[in-house]
Amino acid sequence: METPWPKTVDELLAHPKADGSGVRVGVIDTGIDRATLQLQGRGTAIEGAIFEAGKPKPLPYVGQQSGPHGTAVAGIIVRHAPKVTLVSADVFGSSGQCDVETLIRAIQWCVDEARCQVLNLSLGITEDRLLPIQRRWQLQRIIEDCYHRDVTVVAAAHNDHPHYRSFPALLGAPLIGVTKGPWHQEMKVQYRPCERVEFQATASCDGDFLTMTPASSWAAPHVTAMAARLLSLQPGMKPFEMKTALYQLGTEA
Amino acid sequence: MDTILIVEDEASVRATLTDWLKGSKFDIEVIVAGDAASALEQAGRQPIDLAILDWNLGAGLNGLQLLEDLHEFQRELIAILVTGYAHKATPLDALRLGVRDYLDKNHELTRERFLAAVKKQLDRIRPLKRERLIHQQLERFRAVVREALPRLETASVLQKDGASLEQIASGLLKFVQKLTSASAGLLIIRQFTAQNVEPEQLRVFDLEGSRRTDLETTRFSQSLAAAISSMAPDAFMASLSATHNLSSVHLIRDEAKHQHLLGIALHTSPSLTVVLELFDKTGSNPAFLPADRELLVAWQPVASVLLKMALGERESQKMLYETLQAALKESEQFAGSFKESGASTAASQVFTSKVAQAGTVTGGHIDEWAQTLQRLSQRYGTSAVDRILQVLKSVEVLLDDITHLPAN
Repeated sequence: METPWPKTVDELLAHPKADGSGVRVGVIDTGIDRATLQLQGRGTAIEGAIFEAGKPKPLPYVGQQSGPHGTAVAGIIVRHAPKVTLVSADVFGSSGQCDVETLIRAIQWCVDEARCQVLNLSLGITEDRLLPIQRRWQLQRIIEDCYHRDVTVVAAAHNDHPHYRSFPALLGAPLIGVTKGPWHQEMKVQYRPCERVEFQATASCDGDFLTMTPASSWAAPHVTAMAARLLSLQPGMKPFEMKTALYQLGTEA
Repeated sequence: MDTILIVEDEASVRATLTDWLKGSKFDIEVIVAGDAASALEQAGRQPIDLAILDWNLGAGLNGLQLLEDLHEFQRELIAILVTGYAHKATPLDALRLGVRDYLDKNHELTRERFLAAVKKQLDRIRPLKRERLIHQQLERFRAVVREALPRLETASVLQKDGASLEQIASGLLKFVQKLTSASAGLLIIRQFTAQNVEPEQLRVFDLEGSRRTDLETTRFSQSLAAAISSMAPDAFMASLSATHNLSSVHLIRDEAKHQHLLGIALHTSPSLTVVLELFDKTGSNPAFLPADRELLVAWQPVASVLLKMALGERESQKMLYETLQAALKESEQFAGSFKESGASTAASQVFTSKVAQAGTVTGGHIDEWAQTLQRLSQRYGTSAVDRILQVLKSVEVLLDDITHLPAN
C-alpha cells in the first residue's frame, strides 16, 4: 500500500521514500569539508566547484572548505535528507570574502552545469553592496530564472530580520525566505510572513557546536532538507508547489 | 617662440632684415640694436636664441667681439655673421665663439638666402633648447622630491613607534572587551594576497597586543575565526563547552579553555580580515547576553570605518613615499641619459674645432661635419663618436700607405 502524501513534518520524516534520493542540492557557501561529513557518518556524494572574484572559470572542488560555515550547513541538510547529492559551490574561496558577481556566477553554474534542483543560500548581502542598482537587478534576475526553471531557492534572512535588511532573502516571491523560528526541536517550519520573508524554521541543530546557537543560517538548511525530501517524492515539483507544500506542512503541525 | 637679436649699425639694413624676419612664418620675436651697447642691454633683459650680427659695429668693435661679450649673458648663444668683411673672420675663431654661418652683405644677402640661413639655425636651436628646458625642469622636480622625501620619511606613521595594524586592532579589541565585560579576548588578523608565495598570513594576538605564534596552529579555513567571519556583519555567539571532534571547526588552545564566545569580524578590504573574539563575561554568569551581541553589531560599522581610515592613511603615506622614491630613481636614470648626450655634444664640438684647425675644410663642410657628428652622438652615444675617430685614423693610415706620405 502506498504511503500517503505527508501532511506534517513528522509524516514527511517518516515517509520511506522521502529521503532525498535523486535530488541534487547546491550549497552556495564556504565550501564543504568532505572528511568532516564522513566523520559525522554522512557519507553522501559531494561534487562542487570553487568560485573566486575575477576568475570567470571555477576551480575544481577538492573536498575542502574555505570556512566551517558551509560544512555546518551541509551537515544539517544531510542529517535530515541523507540521500541527497550535495553540490558545494564555494563562493568565498581563498580570500574569505564574497562579492555579488561571484554569487551570481555560482548560482548560474549550479543551475546550468551542476543541474541542481534546490539551492541553499545561508548568506546575506546588505543593500549597500547591491549598488549600483544594476547589481540588484542582476541578482533578482538570476533568482527569477531559477524560479522559471523549476529550481527551488531557499535563502536565509538576517538574524535580526526585519531590523537589518539582507539579500537575496528580501527578494521575496521567487524564492523561499527563511528566518529563525523559536523552536529548538528538530525540523519544524511555519508560514509566518514578515517583511517579504515568508517562513520560519528550526534554527539550531546538534552535531556541530556551530549549529547549536540559533541562527537563520541553520534555519534555511532545515527547509532545504524538507524541500529535498518532497522532491524525492514528487520529482519536478515547481517552486510554487514547493511553497504550498511547505505551507501545508507548517499549518498542519 | 625663439628670440632673434639683430645688431646692425646701418638703419636701412636693420629695417630690411627686421621686415624679412617679421614677414616670415617663423615663430619668433625680433629685437634690434644699432650698436654693441644697446645689444648688450637687450641681452641683459631677456634670453636670446640667435644673434644676427654685423661684422662692423663701429667704434673699432666687430661682431665677433660683441658675440664674445654676449656670451657673458648666454653661453649657448649662436650667431650668423653678416659681413662685407668676410676675409677678416677666421672659421676657427668664429666657430669657437658660436658663429654658425656667414652671409656676405655684398653678394649673398637676398631675402631667400637670409631666411634660409636663419631657418637652418633655428632648426638646430630648437631641439637643444627643448633638451635644456627638460633638463632644467627635471632638476627642479628632483630638487622638490629630494626635499620632500626626508620629511615624509620622518612622518610619524612610518616610524617604528607609529600605530601598526596590530596596535590599531588591539585597541579596538580592548574597547569591546571593556564594553561587554569579557574576561579574555583574542585578535586574529588574516591577510591574503593571491600573488604571494604563501598566500595567507594568519596572526593571533592576545588582549595585551602580544603576538601569540603558539596559537597560530590552525588553518584559517578550519578556524573559529573563519566561522565568525562568514557570519559578518552579524556577530556570533556560541557555547564552546559543547564542542567535539566532529565539528567543522578546530578550536585553538586559548579558545577551547573558555565556555562562551562572542565574536565579530571586520572586513576592511578583500585581502584583510580582522576577527575579534571575546570570551566569558566577568561575574557569576559567564554567558554573553543578546544585548552584548547587539552592541557589537551596532559598533561593527564604526570600527570597520576607523580601521579602514587608519590603514588607508598609513598605506597612502607609505605608497606616496614609495612612489616618490621610484620617481627619483627613474629621474636619475633619465638625467644620466641627458648628461651622456651633453658629453656627446661637447665631444662633437671638440672634434669640429680640431677639424677646423686642420684648415682643410671650409666653413660649410664644418657645419655638415658638426651636424652629422652631433646627430650620431645623440642617437648612439659617445661610443659612436669614438668609433668614427677610429675609422678616420684607419683611413688616414690607409691613405698614407697608398700615397707614401709620412704619417703626422
